[in-house]
Order: sequence, then structure tokens, then C-alpha cells
Amino acid sequence: MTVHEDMTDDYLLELENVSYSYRTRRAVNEVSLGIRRGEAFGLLGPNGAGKTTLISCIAGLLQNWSGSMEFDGQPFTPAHKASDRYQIGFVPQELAIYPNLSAEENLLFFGRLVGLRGEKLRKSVADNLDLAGLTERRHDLVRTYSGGMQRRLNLTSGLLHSPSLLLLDEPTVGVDPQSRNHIFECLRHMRDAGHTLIYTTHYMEEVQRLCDRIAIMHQGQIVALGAHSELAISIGNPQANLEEVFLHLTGRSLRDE
Amino acid sequence: MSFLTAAFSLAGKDWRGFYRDRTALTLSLLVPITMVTVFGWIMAYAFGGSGGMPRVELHVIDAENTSDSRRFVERLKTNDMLKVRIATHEEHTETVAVAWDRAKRLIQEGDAHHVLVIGKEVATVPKQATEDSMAEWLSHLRLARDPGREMEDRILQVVMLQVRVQEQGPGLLMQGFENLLSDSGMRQENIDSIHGWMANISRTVETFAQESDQNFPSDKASRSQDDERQAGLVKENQVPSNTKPGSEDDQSMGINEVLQIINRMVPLATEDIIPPGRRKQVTYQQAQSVCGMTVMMLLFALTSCGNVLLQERESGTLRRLFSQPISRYAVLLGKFIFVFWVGILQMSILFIYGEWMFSIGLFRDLPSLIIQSITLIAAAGAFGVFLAAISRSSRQAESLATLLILILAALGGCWFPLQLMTLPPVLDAICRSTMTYWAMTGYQSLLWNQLPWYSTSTLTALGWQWVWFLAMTALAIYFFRQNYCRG
Repeated sequence: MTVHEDMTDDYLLELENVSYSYRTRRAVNEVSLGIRRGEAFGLLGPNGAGKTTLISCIAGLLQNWSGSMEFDGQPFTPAHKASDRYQIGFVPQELAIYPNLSAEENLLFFGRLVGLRGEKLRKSVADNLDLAGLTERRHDLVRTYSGGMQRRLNLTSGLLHSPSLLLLDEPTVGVDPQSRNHIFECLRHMRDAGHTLIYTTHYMEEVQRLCDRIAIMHQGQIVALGAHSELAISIGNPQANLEEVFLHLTGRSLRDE
Repeated sequence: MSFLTAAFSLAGKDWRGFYRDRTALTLSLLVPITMVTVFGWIMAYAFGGSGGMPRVELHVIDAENTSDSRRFVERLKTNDMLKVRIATHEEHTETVAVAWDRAKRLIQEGDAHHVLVIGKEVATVPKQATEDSMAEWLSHLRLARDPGREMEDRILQVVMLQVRVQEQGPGLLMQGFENLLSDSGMRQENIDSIHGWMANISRTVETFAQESDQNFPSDKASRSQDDERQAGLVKENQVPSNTKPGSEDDQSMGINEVLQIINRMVPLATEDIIPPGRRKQVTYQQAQSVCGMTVMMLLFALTSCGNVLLQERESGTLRRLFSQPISRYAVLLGKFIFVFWVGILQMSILFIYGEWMFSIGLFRDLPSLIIQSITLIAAAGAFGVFLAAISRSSRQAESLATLLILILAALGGCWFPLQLMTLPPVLDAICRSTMTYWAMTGYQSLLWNQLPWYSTSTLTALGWQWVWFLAMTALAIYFFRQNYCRG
């Protein structure tokens, strides 16, 4: 079963038949969906389903995808246009921060890359240090931080220029409950402030709590799309939690990348 | 699990990891094999290919251009230890004075380190040599030399002595030796008492002559009967009755002492030409070593820094950088700029320390030093970034860097002066195509020959280094696109 979104809403980002192959293996297969302005969109799927590949296409990391994308009604080719990438804040799965710099130096560096200067840069850095809860330790080298602190910094490094669309690739993986909760609260705060989020994770309860709509990917395709309640109804069990929906749609067998 | 089982399990795990990075594994194994091959090849030519003495380049200006002078030049050419370069001139009517000026200029401009000028009235030779008609040739020869080239000079002393003895016959030496002792006030009976010792010296000299004669058969055939007889006479006289060849007495005098004495007896008019600005205490070997190590260590440092590109990829930060609203090539340029800064820092510290330690006048011509250093840093930096762009992992890059840098260092003359080698044309062309060769040439033009950056030889060296920079940059961009930007 492949789900294609009805493209009539006010979408910030629209994907039309987007596909991507690694040599002979098709990782993303004819994906069409729209991300509404200001919504938190959950992207779920087992390992190897194509979530990270799809996020990478949107972030401009992969360029040889087929299909089309539109951002705010305009053609969107982030791999080729820096101005398209400016619309996006990307938080990768791995800790993409520099351990031999302090938190402040990391944020100043990434802030300059997105074109912030002077007072605007300093304010953004201060705000994001505060958001990450790292103001007191802003001068310490990142390598001295705990895993949770590094994750928080990894998140806020992608928020410096207040991007219209935030791509979050498993931002809470491997952190303690306190840091996870802190990150989660940050994201909720951002959503409430009107930012659009695309969020991938394996933590179903996070998606259930945060996301307005959810897409479930399986073998490179969107197999279900809608709010949690809609997905539960679609499998014939309105009381089902997201994990049950997920296992119902993607099966119980083990997945290898 | 026992201690040994645990240890072997760990070793096995590491071995599997090592084995599975096939490229790094291949490079690790290839490095020693290639190094042995390259150094074996290069060093085979370093000492004339036969384990003998290195060959020395000697420029010759034959301002006399007679049958005798041409014959003498031909004899020089057949000598195993010489690479004779005929410094031709446009007009065959070049006077001795003009030829001598040209010889001095060749040395001052770094195009030669020893120039032999042949021409009548070119030199004033001490009395005892000119008295004998056979030594008349000495008054036709004058050597201009760079005194810092000590190694070449020692070899050349041996060769010139050898060739002159071949020309004049060893009998001259015996006579000259006795004249020398007599002039210094020694009585004839004392001279007679050390006759055997003098014969020992003569025999050493004659050995030189005989070895060289084997390479000059046409001339040997044309030797006069008188020369043969004279050589035979010396042979009869050379071994004293109480000395056996190879005995301890036979080796009682070192070759240096023999050379010193003989050079006093039959001196070759020589003038030291020192480029203005060079400090006299600097030797060529010192300058060569300093330049060689500077070039090689810079390459190592900058290729190591070039690995930051791979580190970005391995740590995941490259993905974030590529998602930023900047050009991907800005990332590559950023790495090059970083490597360039490190190069500037390393060179600055190295030069300041080198000047403090050795006082070799590094800062005499600061603009030229800066231009040469910036050129090399640019070329080496581009090389470092290219290695990072072509490699798939830090380990691969490190192995590849070790392999290529050591080869470039050997071929470029960082470890051993190429001037002392007689390389076959192919290997010579390979050596001349390396960045290290031109970097060495640039620094030697600057530091040794005291030439400014706009001199022909320095500009040529700079030009070739910029060619390397452009080639490495183009390759770095190409492989960066292939290995980092595709997908």
C-alpha cells in the first residue's frame, strides 16, 4: 500500500514522487507528501525504511533524487541552491559539533555560516545557549560535556537562524531521560512558536506527544499518513497506540539496514 | 578467559579490522616495498652505480681550443668521477680573461660549482712545476670553485690530480716531490733515506692513473714509448725493498695527506668564488640538509592537516556543513586556508629557529624568502588537501601520505643531493618533475646562491611549484566532487 497526500492544503513543503537510489537499491520510492506550515510532522519507520535518505534529500545532502519539491510554492532544489538550504535547519543523527571548541564557539561558527553577524549573532547564540541549558558552561570545551549536553548543543546548532523548516533526524537518541525531556520541551516550544518540524525517531511516545501528523515509511514508501487517531482507525483498532499501529503496518520481523 | 586468550582475541580482532580496510592494508604493505625500490634505485646512482665515489659536475671552458686542450677535455670526459659540462660560448675567439669572468659568473649565479678554464696565461704556477716542460700544462689550467661545496671539491682534487698525472707522467711527481723537499732545506742524504716512502706515494698516484687509463683506451694506445718507459721506471722504483704491498707500512699514509702534499707539489691555480651575501661558514651540505628537511617536514605537516577534511566526514560534521547555505567548495577552500596557515606558522618558526641556531643568513633577502615559502606552502597545502580528497579514510590518507612524501623527498633530492648523481634520462626527468625538486632548487637558489626571486633559476623553480599547486588543486577539486559531493 502506498499513500499519496492530497495536495490541496497550505503546505510549506511539498514532495511529488521523490525517489532516490543507492546504486541498485531504491531507498526512497515515489514519495509524495506535503508538510503543513507550522505543524510537527513525525516520520516513522523501521531501520532501512528510507527516513534518513528522505531527510537528506530535503536537507540538500543528496542531489541525484528524482521527482520534484516545492517550498512555499516555489521549486526547491536545496542541493544546488544555497538560498533553499537557508530555509532549513538540519539536526543530524550524529553529533555534528566540534569537541575541541566550546559551546559558544560552536554556535558562533554555525551562526556565521548561516550569515548571522554582530549583535544578531551574539543574541542568537545567547538565546540558543539558554535553550540548550548550557549558558553556565558555554566556555567549556564540548569534549568535557555529557552525552545529553552534547545532544542539546547539537540540536540548538541547527536553530540559530530560526529556519522556517527544521529537520530533526533522531535528535534524542542515546540521551538520559532528563536531557531527552529538555530536548522534547525545546521542540514543543518551537512548534508553538510557529516553526515547522519534520521529526524522525524510534521513540513512538515522543511522536505521539509532539506530532500533529505522522507518516510511516516502509521499504522506501509512505504506507500510512495522518494523525495518530486516523492511523489507529485505519488499522481497524481506534484504541491502538502508535506502536501497535507501527507494528501492524511494518510487520514484526527484524529489520536490517 | 585466560590472560593469553584475551590478548590473542584482541589481536585477532585488530587484525580483522586491519585486513578489511583493503586499501589501507595494501598501502601499508606497499610503503616499505616502494621505499626499498625507490631508494635502492636512487642510491644506486648516488655513488656512480658501483659503490665508488659520487660523480662531480665540472664545467669546462676551453678558451685555448687547441689539439692539446681538446685532448685534455676528452680525458676529463672519460673519468668515472666526473660529469663534464662544456660551457660553450658564442664566439670561439673568447679571450682567457673573458672566459675567466664567465666562469666566475657561472658560480655566482649558481649554475656551476666548479669551472675549469683552459687557456694560456690563465694562471701563474709555482716555480718547481713550470720548470719542467711536462708540467707546462699546469699553466693552462685555472679552477674557479664554490668553496662551500666541500664534498665535490675533495672529489675533484682527486680527479684533477689523477688526470694531470696521466697527462704529465708520474715521473714528474717523484721529481717534484724531491724538489719540494730540497727547496724546504732537506739534505740530499735525508731525501734518499725516505725514497721508498716517496715511491709509496707515487704508486698510489699511479694507481689512480692506471684505473683511469682503462677508460681511455684510444689515448693509451697513442701513448708515446717514452711515457711507457717512464711509467715503467716509476713502477720499478715505487716499492721499497722492505715494504710489501698491503702491509701495514703500505697504508701508513692516508690519501688526504698524500693529496695535500701532491697538491702542494703540482698545484692547480684555484680561486674561490663566493656569491655576495653568503656567510662563509655555511657549507653546501648544511644548506642542502636544512632545505631538504624543511621541504619534507612541511609536506608531512600539511598532509596531516589536510586530514581535517576526512575527520569532518568521519565525525559527521561534514553532513551538517553541507546542509548549511554555503558552497561545498567553500569547505574545501576552508581546509586549504587552514593548511596554509599551519604552513606559514611552521615555516616561520623553523626559519627563526634555523637562523638563531645556525646563523646562515636566512633573512638576508626577506621578500625572496617569503615568495619562495608561500609558493611551497601553497603547493604542499594543495597536495595535502588532494590526498585528503582522494582517500576514503584517515588511515588510507596517512599511508598514502607516507608513501608519496618519502618518494617525493627521495626523488627531489631532500635526502641526498641529486647533483652528485648520474641519473639515466628517465629517472632524471622524473626527479625534475617533482615538487620537492623545484622547492629544493628554489631554496638553494635563494639560500646558497644568494639569488633574488626574480633570477631565472628562482623564477623557474617558482613556476614549477605553481604548476604543482594548480595540478594538485585541480585534482583535489575533482576528487572532492567525486568522493564528497556525489549522491
